[in-house]
Amino acid sequence: MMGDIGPEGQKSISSKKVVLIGCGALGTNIANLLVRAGVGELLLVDRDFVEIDNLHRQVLFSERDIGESKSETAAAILRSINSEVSIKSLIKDMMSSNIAEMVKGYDLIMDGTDNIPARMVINDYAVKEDVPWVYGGVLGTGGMVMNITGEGPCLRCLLPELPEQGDIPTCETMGVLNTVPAITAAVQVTEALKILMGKDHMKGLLQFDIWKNEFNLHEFRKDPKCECCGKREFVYLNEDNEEVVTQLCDGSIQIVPSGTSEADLKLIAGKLKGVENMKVNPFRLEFEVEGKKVTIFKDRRVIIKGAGDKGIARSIYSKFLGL
Amino acid sequence: MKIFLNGKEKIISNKISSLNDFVNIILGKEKGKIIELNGKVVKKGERESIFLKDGDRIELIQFMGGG
Repeated sequence: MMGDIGPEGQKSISSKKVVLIGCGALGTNIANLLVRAGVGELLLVDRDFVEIDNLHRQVLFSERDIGESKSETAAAILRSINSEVSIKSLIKDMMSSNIAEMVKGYDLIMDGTDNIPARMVINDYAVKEDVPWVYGGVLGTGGMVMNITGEGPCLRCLLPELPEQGDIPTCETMGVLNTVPAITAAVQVTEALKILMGKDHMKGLLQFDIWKNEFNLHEFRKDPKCECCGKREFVYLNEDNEEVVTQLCDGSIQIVPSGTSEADLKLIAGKLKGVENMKVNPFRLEFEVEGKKVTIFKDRRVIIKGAGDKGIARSIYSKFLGL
Repeated sequence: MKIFLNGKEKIISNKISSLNDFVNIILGKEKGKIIELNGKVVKKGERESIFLKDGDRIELIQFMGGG
């Protein structure tokens, strides 16, 4: 066993509970490493289902899993890797209205999300409740990792305002090299183990480009005027401000209606007109319209691929779903 | 005036006075990046009122949102 961990460190890791938000490329790599490291409990949260174009970088899934829930499929594989870890899963979209019920009681939050608004919700909750979290992000051949533990800056010190649409490149415009989530997740989990053991951990933002072999640690300061960790104004936890329309990493648009009721997918399917390639199962309804792929989930979320911008997505949403 | 951009020395014209000028004239297409001046992230609205001085250290950070 590594000298810096030792039997006491392993005991500490095995007594801790970790929640992972997002089971995509980063998330599956993170979960794999945490479970093999022997954390006490791991809760996997993801709203999505496995698709064929996920397989080159989302390491816990295979062709036979296409169409299955990401969190439940990952949980089943992870249980077969290490039966001593308590593994739980949720098919849910983490947002301001439900983060508390998901995360309460966990020692650490791991970021496997693919969009900035979700990270802002995690950041606000984590700072407010004093729970450490490890941010990770990927783009093209680059990745970045930052620990938010209360001692240093929070994510809003780094990103005080949300970028405007089109201001920053996305996974859609730049793609992601499949080795990048692996190394980014490995750094995130290394930091997680240090935090779980109460050891000294990385301060600042680690940024790297593994194609150019560049690694930089930005040691920027906590902003005393930061609205989140300075003024303790947690605007992203205010449900009235909840962003209901979000552009996801692959460029698709997600619309989350307010409320908690479930959709009657068969009823909606029966009412749809002028759509193609419709498929319905107990979990989701899919169809194509105007060259866009629309998926409606049981929890009423709608994901529209190929819409390009939020306005077009909203238009399709109201036109075909009357919502 | 001599500044450091991402750790590398750069000589810029004295006509560029504000951080906003620097972003618009020197960075151009990279204006969507996070700008850190001497270890502090600067908001867009603050750039006009911040004046560069010799030896300032500017870091450009591309935020990564994919996962």
